[in-house]
Amino acid sequence: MRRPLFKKIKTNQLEISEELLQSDESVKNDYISGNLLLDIPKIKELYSYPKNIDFKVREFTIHMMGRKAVLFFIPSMTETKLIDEEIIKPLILAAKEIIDIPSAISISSIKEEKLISAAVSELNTGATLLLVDGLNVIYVLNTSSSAGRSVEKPQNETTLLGPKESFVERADQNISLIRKKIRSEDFTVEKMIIGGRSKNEVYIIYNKELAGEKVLAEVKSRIGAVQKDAVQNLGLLIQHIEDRSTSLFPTILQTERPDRAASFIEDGHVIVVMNNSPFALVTPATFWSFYHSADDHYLRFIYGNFTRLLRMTAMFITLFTPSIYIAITNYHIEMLPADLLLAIAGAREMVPFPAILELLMMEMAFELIREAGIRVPTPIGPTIGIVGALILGQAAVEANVVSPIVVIVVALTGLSSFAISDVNLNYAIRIARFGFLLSASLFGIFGMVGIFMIGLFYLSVVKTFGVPYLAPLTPKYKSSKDTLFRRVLKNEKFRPAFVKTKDLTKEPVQNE
Amino acid sequence: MRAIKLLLLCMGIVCLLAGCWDRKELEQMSYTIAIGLDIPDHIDLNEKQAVDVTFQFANPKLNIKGAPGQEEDPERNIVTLTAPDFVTAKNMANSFVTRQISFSHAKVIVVSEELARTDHFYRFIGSALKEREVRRETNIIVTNEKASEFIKKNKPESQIRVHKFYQFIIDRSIETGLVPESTINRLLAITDGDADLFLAMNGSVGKKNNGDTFKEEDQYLAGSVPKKGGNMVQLIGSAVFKEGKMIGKLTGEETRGALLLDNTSRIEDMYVSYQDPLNEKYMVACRVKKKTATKVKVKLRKGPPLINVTVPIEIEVLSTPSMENYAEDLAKQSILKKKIESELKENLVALVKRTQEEFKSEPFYWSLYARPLFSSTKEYEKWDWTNKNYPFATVNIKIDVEIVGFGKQMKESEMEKVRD
Repeated sequence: MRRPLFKKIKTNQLEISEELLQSDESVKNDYISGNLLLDIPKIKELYSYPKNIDFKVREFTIHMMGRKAVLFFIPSMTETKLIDEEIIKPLILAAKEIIDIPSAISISSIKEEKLISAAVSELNTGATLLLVDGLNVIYVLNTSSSAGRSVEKPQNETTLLGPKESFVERADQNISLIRKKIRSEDFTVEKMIIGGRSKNEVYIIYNKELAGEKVLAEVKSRIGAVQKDAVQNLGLLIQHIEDRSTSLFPTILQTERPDRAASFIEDGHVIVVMNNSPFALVTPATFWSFYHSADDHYLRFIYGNFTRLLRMTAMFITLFTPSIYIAITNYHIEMLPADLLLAIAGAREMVPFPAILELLMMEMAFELIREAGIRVPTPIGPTIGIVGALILGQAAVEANVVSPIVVIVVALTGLSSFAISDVNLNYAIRIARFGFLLSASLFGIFGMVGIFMIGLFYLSVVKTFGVPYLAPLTPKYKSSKDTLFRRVLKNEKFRPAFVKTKDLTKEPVQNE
Repeated sequence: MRAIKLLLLCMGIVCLLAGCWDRKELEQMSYTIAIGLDIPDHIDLNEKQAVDVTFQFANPKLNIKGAPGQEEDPERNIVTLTAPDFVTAKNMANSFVTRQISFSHAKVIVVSEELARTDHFYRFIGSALKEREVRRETNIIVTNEKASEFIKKNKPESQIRVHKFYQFIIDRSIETGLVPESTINRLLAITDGDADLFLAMNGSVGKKNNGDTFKEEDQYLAGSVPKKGGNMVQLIGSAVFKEGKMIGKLTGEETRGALLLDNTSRIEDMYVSYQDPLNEKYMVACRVKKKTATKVKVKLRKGPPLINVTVPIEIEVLSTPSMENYAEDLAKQSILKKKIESELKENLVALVKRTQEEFKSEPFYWSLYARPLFSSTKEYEKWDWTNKNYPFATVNIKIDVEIVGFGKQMKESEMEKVRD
């Protein structure tokens, strides 16, 4: 029994080392030779030029240097005007002798690369490569520009008093949206590349004086460990790096509000931004960050807490109303006042199904309406709502298929579920309520309590990037106690300790 | 993965085996609102256990829009059958009642005085609590005539459903203090405590028009309230139970007195009229409220104990037909205060005397104040509150009246000026 185990480990090690080792020849081949006749075909071949029309090569001579030069760029991702005006024009029309290239080009960002592979990956993001005959260096000129929409209002996380801008699909724009809220030299953006084939860029944003090192290292290592040849956007990335991919509860927060992302950075969290994703990831994200909304802090103390109370109530209504209805009407009839009992009994007199079936049918119908509402083309969306909700409910009651009380229960549940603003938590709660419903129909309130306990146990076990899910409530951490309710802003003095931030207090450092 | 499959399997099995699969939907049951207990006509209770059980069911169909059933046939919802006890009667009734019968919403148990005066009453009620569905807060009503007759003749005002009738009339009567709160729980507690008297509501089917005798507003027994029209059923006064057996009755006034002396009861809205001390022809209508708990002090001495009782009372004068201006005259107020104090005291002393002589125990739950004076239950039981001590105790009652208001309009119109 021992031998195979031993062997396995050995072979594993071998495999890894094989992958890591790169043959010397390919490395040698990757270096720029400085001879245009050698280098141009190499790059052209990479992009299968001229078959590939989304790749342009522009050759010209720099008279003032007396050398030939060539530009490579991808027209769909570059600002052609910039190439015309700021690269080609100064080089061709130069009046004085050109000694070094960067002093002759009026482009803000110039980088020198020796490796073709590194230069090519820049080229893929919209940079322009400039090769000059006789210089064994590639100039990477930033000329990228791609099609995209401008900053718009947030769609999911709407607020009454907060800023009205939301993330867009361009990472640099998203970073600037966050950055303009934190004007500090500690604000750090790191880039990582994932996806073996598509080479997607991931930006990790944090405040280097605040972010917990453990969390940061964890985020980086998880992103680095993604083994996929393409990860298009954050929605997919999230599923690669989250703690439990089959868990009911989300452990990474997605927010489309730059202001929220900024406030998380200031609390020491780590934010991840990516191209093609109109939102940012917040890690670690505890249960409370899903429950909170941006307005809680923008509204005044009492109003903000009032909305928190409403949201908590809505959460409990969504979770429990259908199951309480089932539990009480099936098992705990004596809890009902006589009037309500007779009303329910009278209404159910004509209904052919047991209460649980009746309720499940209506809940399914509501979920269908909801799902259909997201998928239908926008022009007929409202119509679906009216047809689904009003006519279906009304007709079902008229036809004695369901009793009116069930319609009330389902409508109340559905309405309350909309008050939970986070999409992920919303799904979690909506699915969990079916668990409660089934347990209530089998065991009454006893079953509901059982499921609730199991749920609580589970929540207290889940971790998000090494942080307990219910922190700082349980286990207790030093924090501003911004959990169920928030405190007066003046008293919110601490950053949450669970992110292991380097500076726990929010008071400014006294300058001498 | 295998562990998860095993867990799922286990959970499935738990659900299948432990789930309650024989539960009933709530429309598959008939809800009894009132349960009536009578002595069967031709059976001797001393030889055989039997009881006439009357069930009054709620009719949920009243709730459906457009469905008939308002004045369908009230007899349909009331059934009477003879059975060994009222729990087994549930099943017997299913020979003609279609649904499972539930006691979970029973508001009252109506017992005829005839049955209440026998030893068998407590056996029926006491053992009924083994049945899970019977609520301990169900009230007991003792009726002068047969319980089945009381239930059948009870025709609440139009549109009010039966359970509403019992709920409202009982709540209201308890508020006004005309009947005591008489839950099964209290009956059991008092009877098992074996020291005090239990008061049950007294109800009766009166005649439709009843106008021959006239007394003060609360001095009636059930069935003799002068009135015309309305429901034939009335609740006033109380039946006195000693050791689970009915031994007498109290009028409405006496019941109110008992409730004033008892700290475990609640009276909220007691309207009483007293003779006007300044003009004896007229009465002063007052709203009487117990300010704080009645102070009861039992003092042990050689022989029977001394009991000092202080009843703090708040009074709001509601009407003075004599047009005496009490509101602005402190002297008149103190006359009124003294008058009320003496009248109340007179009533209470008479009541205490009656309980001492006639019932040989008290319905005020005063044993609660005697018990702590002993270091062990044994000593207390040997001392014997009910039989040896209370009937001979000296009871001093002190009434503490405070007049707190004179109604909305305080000043009276001056009759002489009006009539000139």
